[in-house]
Amino acid sequence: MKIKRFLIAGVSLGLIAATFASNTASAAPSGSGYDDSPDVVVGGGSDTTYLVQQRLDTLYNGAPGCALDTGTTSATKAKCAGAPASTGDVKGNYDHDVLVDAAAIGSGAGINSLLPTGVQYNPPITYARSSRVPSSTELASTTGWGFGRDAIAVVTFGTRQAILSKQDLFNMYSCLPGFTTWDKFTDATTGLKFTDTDTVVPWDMNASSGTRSTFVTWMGNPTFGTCVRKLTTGIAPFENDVKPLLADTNVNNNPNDFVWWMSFGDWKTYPYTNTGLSANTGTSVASNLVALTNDYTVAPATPTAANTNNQTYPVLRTLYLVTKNTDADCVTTPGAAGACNNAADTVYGATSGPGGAVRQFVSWLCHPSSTSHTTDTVTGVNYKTEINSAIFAEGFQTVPAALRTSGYGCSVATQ
Amino acid sequence: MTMRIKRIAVAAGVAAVGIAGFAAAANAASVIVTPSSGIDGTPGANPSVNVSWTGLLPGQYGFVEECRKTDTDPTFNYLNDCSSYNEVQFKSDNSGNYAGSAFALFTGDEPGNGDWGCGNAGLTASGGPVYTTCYIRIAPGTPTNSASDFFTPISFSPPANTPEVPLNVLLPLGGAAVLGGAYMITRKRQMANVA
Repeated sequence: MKIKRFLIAGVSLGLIAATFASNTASAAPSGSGYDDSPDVVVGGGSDTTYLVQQRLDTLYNGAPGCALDTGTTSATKAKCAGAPASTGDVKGNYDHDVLVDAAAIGSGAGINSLLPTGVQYNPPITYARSSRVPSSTELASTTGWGFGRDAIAVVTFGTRQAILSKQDLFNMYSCLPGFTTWDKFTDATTGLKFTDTDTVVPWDMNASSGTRSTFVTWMGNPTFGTCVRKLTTGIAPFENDVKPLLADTNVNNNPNDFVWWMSFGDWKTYPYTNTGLSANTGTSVASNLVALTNDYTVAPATPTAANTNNQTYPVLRTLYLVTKNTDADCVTTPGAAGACNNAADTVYGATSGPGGAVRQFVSWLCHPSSTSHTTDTVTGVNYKTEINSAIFAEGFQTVPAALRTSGYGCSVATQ
Repeated sequence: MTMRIKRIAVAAGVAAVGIAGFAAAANAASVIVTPSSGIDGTPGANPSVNVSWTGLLPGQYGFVEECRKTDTDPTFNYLNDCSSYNEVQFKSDNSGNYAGSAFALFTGDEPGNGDWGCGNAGLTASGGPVYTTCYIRIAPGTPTNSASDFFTPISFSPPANTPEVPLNVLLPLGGAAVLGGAYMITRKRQMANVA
């Protein structure tokens, strides 16, 4: 009996020691994307997710990893010391890979750079930021890792506060006769139709924008009519900043007649982007959130964090990090067609180089709970909490449990 | 129904009004939260409070959140100490006032990270402490506004277990019923024997 107890105690101590070791100083895990060498990985694409991705980059770049070769004149300086028998924290950024993000030109432009037939970004990128789900064509060679949620805010300006339905917006953007003046639409302050007959001025958006794609799809893909406004330069305004619209000197630039849309996360986090100087009035004009409904059978609502999380707001979208599916995938044979067949939260893909670095970043980003993460050695906060805080800081929400892919903390889009 | 009315009356009787003044603002503003105490913090109770204010900028949005601490704590960080999960925003009228709306509270685990919670004494969150006093934060203009935000304390406690009829009435009545029943049974048996 005594011997049995001793053995149990010994085994228990051994397990505790092994657990401790795995958190602090383990060898680079085999079958991962780690290769004991720091890679520089560049992302590009979405404007909406540009700032949140930079926060995530900073967190990951500072996450602990292998003990480094600190030799001043060593040929392996700043690589994992003692490779291939290096040791370190395997729950952070083991190789000390470096993520940076290129300027935003739109989700579609970013994803295109990863496609076999695509045109590469400048600088060349290894992953794409996207505020829309990749299309089925794109998913033939990519995987979308949805890590956040956002609402699309429809906005009017100045004194105009409106209630609009999907059909209202479809009609507006189609410039449908009979729906081109504000008296056809509902005033949120009275619940009745507007009394003025000003012409509605619906504004367009950068064609590569994921925010545009999400909104146009939700409206039912209207063919934009000739009443839809571009800047006087002939270019559709870039997403998520109302200032260029308000500053435009086109005819009929009364801001009270404008209608547009943008990321709700951006709208609420950066008031500078939702207000601007009107060329028409010469004063600062703020945007107002439109109360939106799919079809008036459900009470109209303005976007909030609460109705993003409980999924009752009409236009919601997932924010993605998009990878080549040979770099990071949720199927055991990376790049193969089919549904996710991952074991727990394992990410499959490249085993070295920038592709391996992307794989490991995705794995870190999509861990479902704090137990898979380590503690930030500077703040003392678990990285799961810090990842969530980075998402919240930009006005976005985490992916609700109901939308997560089994095993992951992310919603994975695959072919 | 009687029970329900009585409970509401009891709750109203103990309910307090929380007022957060904000003297440091350029425009002296105040927030009113009702009730501010006696809120049922049982997980799943889904209580709400009414939030109103005066003195924000005309047309300004106020972002409403449930927090575990205030910015008087030097470690306060709205991202970690307030919940984004149930955040809403209300819009001030042209005078900078807001007449009031219900704000739905979470009770038990903070739904975003789960590392703290708000609720009744004795509860535990999956990852940290549960506070019996939490705070309603109003951030004017944007949730990131930590320079001129307002905090109003709210406290949680289990609902008062008020019986519909006091025991000093119920017990004698119950006793009388038992005795009466026994008498009836005895009487019936006696009549049966006679027959």
